[in-house]
Amino acid sequence: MAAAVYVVTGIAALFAARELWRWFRTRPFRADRRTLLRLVLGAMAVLGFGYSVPREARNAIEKIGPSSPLPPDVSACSSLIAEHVPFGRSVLVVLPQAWSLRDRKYLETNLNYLVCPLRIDYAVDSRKVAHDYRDVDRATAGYSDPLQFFRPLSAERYDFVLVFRPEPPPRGYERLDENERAVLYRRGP
Amino acid sequence: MIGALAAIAALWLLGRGLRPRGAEESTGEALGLDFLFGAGLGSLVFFLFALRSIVWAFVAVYGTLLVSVVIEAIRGRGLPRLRFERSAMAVALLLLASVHILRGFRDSLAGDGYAHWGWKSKAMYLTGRVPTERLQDRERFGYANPDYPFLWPSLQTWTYLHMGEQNDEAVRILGAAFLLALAGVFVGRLRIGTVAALAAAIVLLAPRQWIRSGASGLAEPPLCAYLFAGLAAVAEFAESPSKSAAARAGFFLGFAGWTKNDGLAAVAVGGMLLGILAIRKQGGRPAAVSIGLFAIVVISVLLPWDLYKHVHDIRGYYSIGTAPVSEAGARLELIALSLKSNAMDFHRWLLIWPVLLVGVTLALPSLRRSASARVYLLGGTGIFLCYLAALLLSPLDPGWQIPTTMPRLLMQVEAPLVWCVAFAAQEATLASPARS
Repeated sequence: MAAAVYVVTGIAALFAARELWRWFRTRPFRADRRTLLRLVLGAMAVLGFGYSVPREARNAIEKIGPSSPLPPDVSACSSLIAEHVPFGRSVLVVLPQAWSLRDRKYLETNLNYLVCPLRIDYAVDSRKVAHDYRDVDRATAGYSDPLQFFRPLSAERYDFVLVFRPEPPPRGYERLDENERAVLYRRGP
Repeated sequence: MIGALAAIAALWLLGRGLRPRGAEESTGEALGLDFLFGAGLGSLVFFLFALRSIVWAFVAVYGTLLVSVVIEAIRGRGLPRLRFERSAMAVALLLLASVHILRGFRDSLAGDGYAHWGWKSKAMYLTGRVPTERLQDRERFGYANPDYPFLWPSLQTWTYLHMGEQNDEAVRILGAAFLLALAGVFVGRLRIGTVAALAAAIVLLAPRQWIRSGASGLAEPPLCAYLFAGLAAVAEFAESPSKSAAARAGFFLGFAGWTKNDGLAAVAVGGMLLGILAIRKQGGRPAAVSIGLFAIVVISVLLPWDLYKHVHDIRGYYSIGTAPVSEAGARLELIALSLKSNAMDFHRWLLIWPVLLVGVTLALPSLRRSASARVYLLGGTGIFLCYLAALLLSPLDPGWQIPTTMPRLLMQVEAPLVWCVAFAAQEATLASPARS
């Protein structure tokens, strides 16, 4: 498939370059600004077409780029929520402390979009570390939102709490289901 | 996918009947402008009715479409006659367009495509109306920029309704449609001969930043298209002032502001240019009429969203204050570093920014002689300066915000600047439109 992309692009590029050359020669060659600009425009068109089209077409066809299926953490989390949490109920997802902000953000955006955009909050257990050295004084006991300026969150507000391993279980909740990466709790009676 | 294509075709048909026409338009330009106008107007109607219910909104847009088709029939417009250019450059541009569409089918959305725009459209689709309570909940959903307008989420929801489900592919195809509309308008407005115009369109759309953006779910594709179409209308006004050009400038720049808050810079700069041109070229009462018409159109496009935000107390991050003046030096340094890293990023930009810097400098003597070229140059640079001012004042962490937003901001003003270089590279013959 990649070979076909290169062959088609190559043939098209040859014809296009020939046409560009004809266009370039419609004006007598002089050492002036306009000639330089025409050269620049032609060269950029050749570069743009010759570099981007085969590369991006191949990338789209063969999926060699960064796009990939959902990572296991997101799948594990979303499957538990989708299976047990009815629409309209609220969930607190407690993320592992060890995750980087980038990982947390990735999970949050994927889950918000894919599973239940209106009912999830995200937290880390702020007893362990502050998430940003500038806010070390604001790390209080309990959960806090890792992305929203350390807003303290209370587990009591939520119908369900999904805790990523190895974070400790929340108090006042009963275990509902689990998989290899996370445990889902329901508010106790 | 038929649903998504039907959604796009309906928007195009809407624009075809109701859009104020320009004097001379090539087929590609007319197709692009029809789609852009239809998408802008359709999203506005959809949003207004979606305050109550998205089902009402769906019916209301189709009602407007019915009116559009009747007007189209009365004016005798019918369907456009498509004429394909027998040119190798046209084939090259078609191949590039097919890569944009292919990426639409195969790529994944960007983070903000999920978290901001996608979240809003999904929330609208799931709750069955504009999700006001969620937008007001700054604590939970503040990260999704609740004060950003609803053109893009409305269009996404409109497409979901046609497909009967939430669908990422449809969002990406919609992004590619906006970029193709931009290509049509761009080639049409470059009245410098077919080969040069098509080559310039390839220069514009080939960098990876553009190819990735069409499929990203971000609002840049519509914003870039509206910004360029708006400046093109102001440029037409500069060549021959008319009420139609003023109204079109108002619509397209207004739609830029209705796409994203960044677009308000285009409204301000484009409006200022149009005002100066009207006073200098028309003077007196005709100038007042042109400026008034532009203002009325812009206000009618932007007022519903502003009223909605005001009534529901939906505020953006500027409401928490602005950055202290003492940070200006550090922010300018970050801006300079970010500009440098983008200029040197071959993979993302194919060195377009150093080339544009040199190209525009070389082109200045030609650009100064043309009224329309001055509009593109002053418009593009003026809008970018507004963006930089916003970055200096923003209360958000500059270490994160400046490098994140800079590629998008550069992208938004690239089309007018590439237009300037291509214009100066060829003896400009503004009298005859390029065929496309």
